[in-house]
Amino acid sequence: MKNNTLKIVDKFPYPGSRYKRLGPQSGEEFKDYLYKNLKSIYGAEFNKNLDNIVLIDLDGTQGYGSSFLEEGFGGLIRSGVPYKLVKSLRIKTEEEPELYEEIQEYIDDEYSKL
Amino acid sequence: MMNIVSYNIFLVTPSGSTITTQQYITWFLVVLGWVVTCILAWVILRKNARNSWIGDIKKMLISLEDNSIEFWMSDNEEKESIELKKLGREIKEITTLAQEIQVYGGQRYSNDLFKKLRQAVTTEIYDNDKLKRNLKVLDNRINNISDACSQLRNLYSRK
Repeated sequence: MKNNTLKIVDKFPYPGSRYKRLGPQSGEEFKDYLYKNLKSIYGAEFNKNLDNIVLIDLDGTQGYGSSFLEEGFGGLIRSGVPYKLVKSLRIKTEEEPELYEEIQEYIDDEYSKL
Repeated sequence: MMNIVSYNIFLVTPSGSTITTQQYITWFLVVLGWVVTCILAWVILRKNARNSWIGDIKKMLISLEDNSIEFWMSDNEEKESIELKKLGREIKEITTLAQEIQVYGGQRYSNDLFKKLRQAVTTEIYDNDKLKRNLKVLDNRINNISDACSQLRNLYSRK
C-alpha cells in the first residue's frame, strides 16, 4: 500500500473557470491533471494497485468555484474513471470543509446520469 | 499542665522572619485575583474579537452580494473569467473568517450555507458557449445569491 498526495495549490494556486478556453488553471485542466495522476497510479484501465491511497489536498488556494470542482471530479466520471475509484479518493479540505460534501454531490450526480 | 495549641503555622524565611497563616491566605487571595482577572480578560478578548469579526463578515457578505449580483446581471465581457475568480476569492475570505469565529467560540461553521453560497455565486451556466449573464431580477440565481447571503448575515449576529 502506498500513499500518494496531490497538493492542488502547487499546480492551481488560483483556480479559474470551468473551461480551458476561458483562461488558465481551469476545471478542465484540473480534471486532466487528476486523470493523468490516477492513470499513472492505477494503470490505464484503473485496475492496478487498487490498495494505493490518493489524498487530494485542496487547502491553500485562493478559493474554488463550483464549476471548477464539478468539472474536476464530475469530469473524472465522464472521462470513464470508475465511480468506486473516484469515491475512494481522500479529500483534505480543512480550510473550507463544505467542499467535501459539494464534491461528493458532483460525483454522485454524474454517476446517476450514466 | 495543658499545652497551649497554636493554630498559626510558621515558616522561617532565610532572613529569620516568619510567614503566618494570615499571610498565606493573603497571598492566596492575591494569586486568585490575578487568575480570575486573566480568565475574565481572555473571555472578554475572545468576545470582542468575535464581535469584531462578525461585523467584518457581515460587511464582506454585503459586498459579495452586491458584486455577484452586479456580475450576473451585467453583459458578457472579455475579463469575466477574472471577475468570477475574484468572487471565488471573496468567498474564501469569508469562509476563512467564519472558521476563525468558530475557533473563538462563536457561531458554528455552516457547511450547508457556505455550499449554497458558493454554488449560487460561482456555478457557470453556458448558453451557446457564452456564460449566461445579463440575468433578470427574478432569475433563480439572483434569488439564491440574496437568500444565501441573508441567511449567513442572520447567522452571524453579535452576542
